[in-house]
Amino acid sequence: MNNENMFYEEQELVLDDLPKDYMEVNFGPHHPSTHGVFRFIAKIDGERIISIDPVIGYLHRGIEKIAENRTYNQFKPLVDRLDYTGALNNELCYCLAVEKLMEIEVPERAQAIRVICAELNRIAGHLIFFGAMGLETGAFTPLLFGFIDRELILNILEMLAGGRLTFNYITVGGVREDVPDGFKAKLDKFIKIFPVKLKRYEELITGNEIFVNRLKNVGILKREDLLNWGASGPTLRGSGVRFDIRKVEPYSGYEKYDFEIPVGTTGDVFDRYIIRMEEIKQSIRIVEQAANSLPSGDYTAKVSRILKPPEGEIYYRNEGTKGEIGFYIVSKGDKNPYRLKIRTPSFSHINMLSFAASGNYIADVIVILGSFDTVMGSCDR
Amino acid sequence: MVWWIELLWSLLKLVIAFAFIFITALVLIWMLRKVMGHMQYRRGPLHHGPHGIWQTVFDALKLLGKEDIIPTGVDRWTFICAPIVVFIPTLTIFAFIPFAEKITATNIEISLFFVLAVMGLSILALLMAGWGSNNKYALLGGLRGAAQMMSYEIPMIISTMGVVLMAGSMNLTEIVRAQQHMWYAVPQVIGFFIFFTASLAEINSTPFDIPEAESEIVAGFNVEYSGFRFAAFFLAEFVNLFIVCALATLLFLGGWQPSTNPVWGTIIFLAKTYVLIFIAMWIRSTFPRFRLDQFMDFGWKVLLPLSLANLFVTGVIVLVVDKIRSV
Amino acid sequence: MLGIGLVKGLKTTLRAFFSKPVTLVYPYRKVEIADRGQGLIRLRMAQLDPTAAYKCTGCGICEKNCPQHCITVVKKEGEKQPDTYMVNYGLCMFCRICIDVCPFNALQQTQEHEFIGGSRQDFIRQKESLQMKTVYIEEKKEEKKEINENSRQESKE
Repeated sequence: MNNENMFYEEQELVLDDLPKDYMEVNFGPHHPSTHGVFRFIAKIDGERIISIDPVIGYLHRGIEKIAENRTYNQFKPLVDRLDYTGALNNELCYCLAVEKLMEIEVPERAQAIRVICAELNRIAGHLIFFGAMGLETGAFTPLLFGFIDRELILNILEMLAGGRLTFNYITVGGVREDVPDGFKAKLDKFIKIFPVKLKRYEELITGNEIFVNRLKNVGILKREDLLNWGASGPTLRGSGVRFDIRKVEPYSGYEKYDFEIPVGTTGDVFDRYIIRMEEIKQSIRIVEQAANSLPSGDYTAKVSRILKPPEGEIYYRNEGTKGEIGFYIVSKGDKNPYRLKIRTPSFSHINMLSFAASGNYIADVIVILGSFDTVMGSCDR
Repeated sequence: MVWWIELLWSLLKLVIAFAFIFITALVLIWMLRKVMGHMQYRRGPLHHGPHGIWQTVFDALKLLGKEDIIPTGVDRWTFICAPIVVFIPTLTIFAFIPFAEKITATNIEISLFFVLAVMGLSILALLMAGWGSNNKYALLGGLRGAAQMMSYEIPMIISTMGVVLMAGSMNLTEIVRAQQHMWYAVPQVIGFFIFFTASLAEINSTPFDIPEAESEIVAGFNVEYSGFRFAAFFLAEFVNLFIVCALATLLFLGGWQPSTNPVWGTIIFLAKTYVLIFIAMWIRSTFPRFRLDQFMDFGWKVLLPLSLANLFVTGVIVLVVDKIRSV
Repeated sequence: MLGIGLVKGLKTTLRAFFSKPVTLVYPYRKVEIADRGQGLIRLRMAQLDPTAAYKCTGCGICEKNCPQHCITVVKKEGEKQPDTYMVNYGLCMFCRICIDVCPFNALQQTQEHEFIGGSRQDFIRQKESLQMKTVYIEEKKEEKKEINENSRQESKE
């Protein structure tokens, strides 16, 4: 009898040739903890996962194609919208790439202001990570603690750059406007208050035994796998690889500042969490040094209104909040770029989910995805 | 003549008890939102009424007005009856809880035994909701919930046996009367801790809210319910919280103990219960969730041996003290 | 000791319970925005007078440079001011390129962010509603006074 055309209630139970397969569950694009619109189809056996099939593309906006029809200056506000949790890092990478292509020299004051912006944005991005990590394990409070402190940073950035989430502040040749009055005082106040609040986070979550047991020995990734799949940023450093673009290929004056790179040992989720918390402390050190030694001078180099880079191509990379952001620009001497390709960290990390998660529990998969700290605007572009 | 006055009087007591339940559920939901809000540096509901008191009433009215959706392919009677079944144990137990010396809806000799037996029925509602919704998330949630509730019932029940041994009776009113000189929380510290933890696991409150783990399986067994059926599950969870804290107060914290006056006794009993409810909400807004296997390990490998040891030691001490007294 | 981390976590939440909450009750208290905050763009006038002329001459440079193509400028022959100046705020992303690029310094950024509309047509603003009027400047002064008073009241509470 043809069983497929009936409703399942009316099917006859034929016990010998019942189709057997693992249960397929769809963690759909509408989900409270998949960091944006991300879908994955999981085959599970009880509580263990057999395989995962990620599906991306729900936030694809065609940014790379739009770039072919805009001038370099007109395209710059769109770059903010890639990794929207730490937008100034994206802008910095794009502007550095175009400046290298056009061989423009940026004055030192602009470089120091850029470093302050980038590091403040890094702290803000890691605070979202902290909140989201708490939410994935089931605690509601860390999310609000993270966002309350993020308000302080966003107020400082609003005073400097004009926006809170998307800025359009760093331009080709320097920054858009100079530092306003009262900025240094506000920044100093922030640097003094913030370590106290960091200590509160440690008491709330990092020392908590339930949290530590949820994160330790979960999602261990080996060094070879990570290097093969193109990981970067804190995800890579969790497994003991000491690689940070700010130390290996310094840009925008990073060689002048004194900071350390935290590196993990085992490569589990807890190490990646602790690395990001330590990075916040190192970022505060960098901001303090940059603010105290702000050189005087111009805030932008003299650049013509319409940018026409010479013919050529360039790939430039920088250390964003989540990992390595790279811009590959091919220019044929026109006002518009001929081809612009963006390399984002989230795209490589999401593809690692399929092998990082097999054999773990469902609850662990969510935690591992949170530890990669992906943002879908960056993955889908 | 007399028998139907008796019948009316018992019915009236039951109606008062049920009205008290619904008002308690509304008050507890408001309290949770306010307490959790202040612990997160924000205010809870603020606008309807002073400090947002009427917010829960309006939310319940809104849920009443929603469309009643029954998805295709559900097991119809199971789906419809699950919200009703979830209320039955809570309403039944409520009739046996004494608020003061003579104030209780019914008073039988084995009320503690009856209460603990009926509380086990709430697993059935969870399984019905999980199976009846035609949804894999609900199934996962329902099965997890069944595993959790079954494995935490045993330490909970055994930890109350220590109290029964010390008091010598299973009647809740008698147990409270026997705590005149010293509350049982003092000699039975381990029992109190085990009872409180295991009962938080029974009512699916964080850190044990695995059946409705919001970040993984998006509300678990609740996922296909909307409108007033969802409100039934939601209210039942808070009434369960009240019942469990009330039981803890009666068994370990002396109930209405310093006074036997009905009015003052009720007020003292309610105050102690609300302190325990505040502690449960405090825990709820601080801790993350256990993973399922760590949580089963905790139940079977830590709580169960501890509660058995507690029972054994209590039994030995009670026997020895009796022997000394009779000699 | 085994449970010490849990106790510390409980202590943090209890301290938060007794502290003052940080919410700003929005419709009754307004948020203070910095001077550079992104908001609506307005056309400057030559003087602060309701009948003065616009500084804008209708050259169309802002229209060519806008990434989203949301400005439309129409200028008739022989006139010094534009006939139509239309901005579609449904498309604008507040990138402020138009302000940077205008050679006559005719566009001004304000901090207005609370505008609502019933349909997409409500977001298309013409030149008259984009004037930088004296009334607007008076409204801003009033708002700043109100914000200062409210923050003084709150610090007293």
